[in-house]
Amino acid sequence: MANTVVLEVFRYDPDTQVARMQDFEVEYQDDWVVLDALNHIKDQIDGSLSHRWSCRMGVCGSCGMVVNGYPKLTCSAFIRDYLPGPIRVEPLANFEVERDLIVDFDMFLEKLQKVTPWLVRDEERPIEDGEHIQTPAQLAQYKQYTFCINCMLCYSACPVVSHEPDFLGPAALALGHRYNLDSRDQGKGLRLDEMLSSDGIWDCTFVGACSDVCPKHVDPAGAIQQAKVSGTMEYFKSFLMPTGSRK
Amino acid sequence: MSKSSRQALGARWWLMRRSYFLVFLRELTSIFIASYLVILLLLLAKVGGDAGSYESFRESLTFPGMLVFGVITLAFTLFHSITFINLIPRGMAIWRGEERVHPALIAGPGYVGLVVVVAIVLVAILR
Repeated sequence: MANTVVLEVFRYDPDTQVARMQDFEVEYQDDWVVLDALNHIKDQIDGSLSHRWSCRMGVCGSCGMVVNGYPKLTCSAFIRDYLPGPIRVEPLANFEVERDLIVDFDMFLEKLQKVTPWLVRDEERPIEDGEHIQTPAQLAQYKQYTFCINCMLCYSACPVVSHEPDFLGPAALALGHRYNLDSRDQGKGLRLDEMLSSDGIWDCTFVGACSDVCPKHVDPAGAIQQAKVSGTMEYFKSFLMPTGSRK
Repeated sequence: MSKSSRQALGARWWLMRRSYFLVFLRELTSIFIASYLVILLLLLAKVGGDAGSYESFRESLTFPGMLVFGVITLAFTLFHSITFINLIPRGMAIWRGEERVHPALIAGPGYVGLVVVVAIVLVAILR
């Protein structure tokens, strides 16, 4: 006898603007993850189901959804861990839904851009001068934050994002902190203007849910607290060295 | 094509999971600690007044309701202190070369400081 489980799937039709939950009974195999079940539904039961996915190995960050109330990458959420079911699958919280399980990431991309998530140099060095040398110790300081795959689980888990829509949010602030820690970067002052603004790091109340759900153990909550310490030091340094701080 | 309304967590987000609830509780500690500070300030103000007024205020602090309030405030203060000390290593990244200093070495001095301060206060009160 085949194993079956019921998936309660969030459906949203943008044309009628009707949102509802729909049950699907799915025959699953022991090694299936929730994403396999969603793909099975789309292929075999209801082709109109819309969801986003790509790599199926926890690298691309496309398949983030809320499974039984928790933000998860559905490619790493094994059905056997949710038995006997039902398994409730919803789109990521705190985002607008485009259709069914697909959310609109524009909100995040706008916030991400505000923290200048790239290396900033006062003056670009000619290529013939060679690369910017960095020691392993300098790399270690920010390496953890480079593992972010922009899956947005942290935004879905964060109650501050939910109640303060302008809050820059965990991933964007962690990435801002990542570049501030990079020895090759000279854009800290530029970034801190945004990170220390009213929508920046001080909005974070250190709930820590962002780090709890992060599939890559980036610890955005820790990054934000470190940015608070760094920002406070910069604030006091600005009194002592009005022209030389934030470098 | 129109999108749905934002899928927010809602006003009862703090009841959705244990970690949310503990954070909410930690925020709530500030009310009790602030209230206790107000009582302490009032007590200090009474010290400067007449003896009768001071004794009557001290007497009111022994009421059962005040004792319960004191016990709750103590529990919340300890909860806030312990969770705060536990979180210090997350916000304080100290490196030795390529290795981050172990969290226990950063939180440890926090606990030592807490014990020392509590001991000093106890000695001052009980001697």
